[in-house]
Amino acid sequence: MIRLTIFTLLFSYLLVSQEVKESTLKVNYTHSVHLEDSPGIFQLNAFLTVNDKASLYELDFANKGDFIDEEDYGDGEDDNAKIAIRIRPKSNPVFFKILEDQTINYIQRINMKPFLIEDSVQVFKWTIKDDYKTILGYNCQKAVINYRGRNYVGYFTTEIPFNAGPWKFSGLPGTILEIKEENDVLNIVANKIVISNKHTVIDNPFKDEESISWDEYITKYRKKFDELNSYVDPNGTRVTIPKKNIEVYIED
Amino acid sequence: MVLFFLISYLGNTQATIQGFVKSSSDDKPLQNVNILIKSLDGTLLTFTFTNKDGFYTTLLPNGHDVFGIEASIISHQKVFKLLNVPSIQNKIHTLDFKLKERVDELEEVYIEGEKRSISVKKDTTVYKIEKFKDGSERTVEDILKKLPGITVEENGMIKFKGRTVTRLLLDNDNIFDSNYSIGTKNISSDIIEGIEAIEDYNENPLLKGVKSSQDVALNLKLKKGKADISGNTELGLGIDSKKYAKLNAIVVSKKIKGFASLGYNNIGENYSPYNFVSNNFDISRLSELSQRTSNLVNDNGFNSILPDNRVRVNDNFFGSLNTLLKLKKNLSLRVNYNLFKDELIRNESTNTIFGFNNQQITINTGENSIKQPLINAGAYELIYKINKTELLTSKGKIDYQKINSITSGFNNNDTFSNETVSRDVFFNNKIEYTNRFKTATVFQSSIEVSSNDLPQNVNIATNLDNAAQQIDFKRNTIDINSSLLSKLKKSEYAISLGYNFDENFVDSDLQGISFNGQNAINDVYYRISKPYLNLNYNYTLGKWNFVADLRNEFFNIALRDENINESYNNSIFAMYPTLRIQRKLSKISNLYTTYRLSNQIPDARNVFSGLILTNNRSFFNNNFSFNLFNNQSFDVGFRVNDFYNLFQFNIYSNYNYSKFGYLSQLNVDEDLTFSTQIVEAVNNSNLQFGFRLEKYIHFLRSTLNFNSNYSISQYQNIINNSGLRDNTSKNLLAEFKIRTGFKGALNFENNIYINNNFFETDSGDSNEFTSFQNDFSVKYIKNDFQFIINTQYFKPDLKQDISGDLFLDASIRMTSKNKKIEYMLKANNLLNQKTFRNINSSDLSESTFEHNLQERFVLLSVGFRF
Repeated sequence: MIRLTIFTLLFSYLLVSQEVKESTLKVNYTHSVHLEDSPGIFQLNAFLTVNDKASLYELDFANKGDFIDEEDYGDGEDDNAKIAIRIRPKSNPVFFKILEDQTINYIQRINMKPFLIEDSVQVFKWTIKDDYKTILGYNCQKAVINYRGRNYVGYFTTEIPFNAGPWKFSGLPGTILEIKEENDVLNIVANKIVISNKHTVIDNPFKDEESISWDEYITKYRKKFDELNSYVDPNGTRVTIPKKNIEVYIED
Repeated sequence: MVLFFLISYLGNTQATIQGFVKSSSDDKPLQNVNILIKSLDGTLLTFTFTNKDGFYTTLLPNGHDVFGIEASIISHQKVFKLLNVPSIQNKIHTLDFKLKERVDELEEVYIEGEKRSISVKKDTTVYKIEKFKDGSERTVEDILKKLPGITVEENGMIKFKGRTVTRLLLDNDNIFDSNYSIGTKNISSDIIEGIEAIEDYNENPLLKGVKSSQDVALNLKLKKGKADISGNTELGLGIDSKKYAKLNAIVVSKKIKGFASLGYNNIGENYSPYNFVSNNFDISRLSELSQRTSNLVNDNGFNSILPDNRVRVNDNFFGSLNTLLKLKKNLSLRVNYNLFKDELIRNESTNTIFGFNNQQITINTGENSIKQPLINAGAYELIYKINKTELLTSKGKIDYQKINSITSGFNNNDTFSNETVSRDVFFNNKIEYTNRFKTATVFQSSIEVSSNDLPQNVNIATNLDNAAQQIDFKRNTIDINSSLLSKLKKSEYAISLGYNFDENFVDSDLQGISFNGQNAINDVYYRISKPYLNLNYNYTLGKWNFVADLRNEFFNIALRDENINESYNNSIFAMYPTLRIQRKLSKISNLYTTYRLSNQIPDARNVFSGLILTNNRSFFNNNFSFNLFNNQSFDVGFRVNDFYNLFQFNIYSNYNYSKFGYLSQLNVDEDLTFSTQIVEAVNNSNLQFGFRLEKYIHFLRSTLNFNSNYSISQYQNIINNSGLRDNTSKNLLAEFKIRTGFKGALNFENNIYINNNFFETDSGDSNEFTSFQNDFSVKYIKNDFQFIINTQYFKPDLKQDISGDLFLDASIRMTSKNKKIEYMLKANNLLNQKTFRNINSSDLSESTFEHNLQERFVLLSVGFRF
């Protein structure tokens, strides 16, 4: 009996030890956006969760309850409550990447209307540089890219064995810990790294939802840009949507 | 040539590395494996990834003979191989990898670095105003009118998404308090960089996150790099003897923040919060309604459907000083002072025909009047932050207003002259203590006292007799209140317990005229004291939101009227429930409904019984009886706001019913009007339907709006010996607007307004008129030059042959390159309409009236910025 028990234990130990190890990487970033025509810096916490299949980057608009942006419109009491620019999202905006498919899925808006975009990490064509710095104890190498109209410097480390990056950024053989646009339009810096040998399930938040490609998005954006250029509200307001945000939509 | 190509070909030759990466356990290709090409010292030179077939290929960098090639992926153990590249002839190197699945655990890591502080703003909409400017804006108000979600009403009141804006902040500081229109009407739009709309605004910072507020504050962000003192000045001269001068200054420093404005004009403009032309009262009075008494003699503006600046024939001076002093780190003081002086000229003639019970009374009047209002108002607030959770504030106001009015004219064949003086002294002070003793729970306690004294004199001389009237209305109030507010996860509640004391004195003495059976004096004391308990509960569940409000008041009423021998005393308990439900149907549409029961009680101007003479032909009194009014209202609405498709739609209905109310009894003859208000069971009701639509049409590059509202009211009145009359009025308002948004400098806008009124009494008499208005404007704006033409056409009644009136205005504005100097040429009422004729109808009468206007002028002005 004792023998059997020992054998069972040993056998199960062997089974376990031969199981494939799954680990999780969690990186917290400080994510800052300062668009050219915006009076202030827009800064918030962001969380990246990565396993060997997928990654999810979450901008913390809602959880800490400390943010606003643009969703929950038209709840004013009066009929004059016409336009809202605000969301108090119940869930945070997320960027979901599937490693195998090389895809990035995210919501991007045109004049407040959300569109689910399926984008490809193939758009990231980095050039690596012989330049290094240490971020949170990791030796990081510099890489540069011109991505959708702007120049970025990124720092990534191959010491963390996950291929991952904040926001849409990917395409480097390691984990990207810092991203900086040349004019500080976008500035993302890691402030916390946790690697654990726990399995984390990362569900596709956009499962079965209809998506469009980046090119289709740009076509819709240009059409709406043109329409809004001629829209005038009863107070004489002419609302425009910008030619560029972080990404350039319409070339000058 | 051939040689050149050969050399360049050889020069660019790089060796290639390629291969397959497979899993050692099942020999299946591995995708997305990092292939790192390193130098011998470990420097990463280049990299690539494997594709679906586990294949990779990349160029090897020049200048190295030996490379370290690493294949790594998180699911497998990494493999490192050395590759010798002795010469460039060997152009393609093949290196395959077999990776074992990772069975060892990664080294667990927990590293936390220094985090940058995150400054987040909740409930704040930031407008980048440059995007909304078209260059025609001059003041903050002009910009606000253009910001989506913001509307500016005639009296300067601002609404954001339908909610009232209660404060205007200057770089986060409240320097104007409720009189914020001083800021919006005067601060130059050029010094503002951005505007933030802060919803759920609580003036008291300790209430933030505990009490949901419907209030909105607008925060003006000043452009950086401004000196401590900045401002602008404008000077204008025109024909005929038109003058315009304005000086604004802003002070921003560590210890003091302030705005001062000084202005004079006789071109019909008003830059102050005070209005004596139309019936809009200033915004700051809204919060004082329960503390102020009535002005029976001089509370009316001039009656007209035209915009104020056409009707206002003025000679106005307005000065305002608003400062916030930071005395200590935890102590600040706000001080405001306003001085307003005006002389308004109005000439009016009317022809009124009363028709009822087969009687007809015709009254022709003519009046020339001068109204001279004077205001001196001071306010302060002392804010003491005891510590992080406790706040003590003391806030008060002294407001002195004097209105002199001199009128001469005729009433049918009798001439008269009429001189009235009203003085209005108002004082209030509120001390409030707030303690946030738990994270989401606040205790508040306050005491507020107020006093208002409003003495008035009316002197009337006619060719028959003279009359003199003295009136004195006084009101004192005290309110003591303690509240507990708390926020839970999905709900929040507030309990408020307090005591309110309100006493009113009405004294009047009429000499020179007497009527049989009518008292000519008043000596009334009217007191309402009430303990009260208010409960408020707000609950959100998924797409539903419920707001319930219950006010419980225990009225103790005492009325002593010297004209009536007995005094009236009563105690009544009243409850006022309100319930509001909102359901979100989709991201762009929602459905809402509200039920409200409110109980008004008669105010002091509706309790006195002796006659009060208010002008040469009008007497006013009441036949008092006490009843709670019992108003019930019910609304329901559906709204779509589709910003993406530039489509807005709203349909709503509203029903009001009052069991008791004021019944108006009118006795009219050719010479005099007696009006008596009686609190009576009236069963007044009002049913309203409304519809709004906005759509942008791309092929026209134009936006259309269609708004309409139809209402039916049932009400009662008594005229002469008619007995109780049941009346119905029906009103239809329709607006159609179209605006172009061409990309060029030239744009057009046209608005049509139609207003149909129909009155009917139970005896079958009826009355109907339809007014029509069309506004058309052309704007040419290019760089620093702009040219604007406005036309307005009014027709008082489409069915009658009263001719319509057309107004034409134009302006040209030019700005210097450095934006420091601005020239403007303004031409108003170019067709020189001297008078305006209009029609007023009711169930009792139809009157045609004609009044003077701000006549044609041309004004040239220059503005400097410093």
